[in-house]
Amino acid sequence: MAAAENVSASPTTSASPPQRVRRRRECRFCREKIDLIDYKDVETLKAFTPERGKIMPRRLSGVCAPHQRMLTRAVKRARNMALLPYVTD
Amino acid sequence: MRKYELLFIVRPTLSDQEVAAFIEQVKGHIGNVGATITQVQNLGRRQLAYEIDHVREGTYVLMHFEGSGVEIAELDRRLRVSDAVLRHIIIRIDEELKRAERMKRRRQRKAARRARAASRPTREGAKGKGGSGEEKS
Repeated sequence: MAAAENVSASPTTSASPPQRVRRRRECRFCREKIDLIDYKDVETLKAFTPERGKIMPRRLSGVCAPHQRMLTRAVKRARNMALLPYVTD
Repeated sequence: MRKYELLFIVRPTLSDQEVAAFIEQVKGHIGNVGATITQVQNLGRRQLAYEIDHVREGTYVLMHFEGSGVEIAELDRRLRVSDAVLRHIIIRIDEELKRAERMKRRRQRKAARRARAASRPTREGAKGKGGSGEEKS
């Protein structure tokens, strides 16, 4: 089973309107203000393709939909260029 | 003009000089088909994630160039028939860059709006969700 490999705890944002109790953390890419997920950035992609090399679902990683789309595409390109494995055994 | 990115893997049996020569050759191809090269980068030898053609490593070369789009088919064909290339990929990046730029601008606008709202707490500070109402640029 793919373990929920969580990213590090979010730093508390200071300059924001009244803080409501926020259960869900913000998407990692939104937080780090990454507008473009590069397929050559193997280290980042690896964080979202645990053990078996499958793409981690959003419900586990907490990535927002636009970024998940970018991520998926990047992973597939990386696989094609032998930067990431298609299968891991 | 459209922006493209080309990444290809050169067979590990080629020596450094041969790789350099091959890069020049590809640059020639790109020039010949009428595109302008903006960046060439040899990313070096790297372990492949899986075996291709019974080899497990290769030299990655990255190029950026600009063109009209019609030359891509020919370039793609040349790379495909080339024996030195294990894999190649040509990606159009101008639209992705544009989208990234849009996202960046939107974020800055939001931040500016938040800053404004924070500086006048008496009028708008009470209802914090006012920011997401209007999304027009």
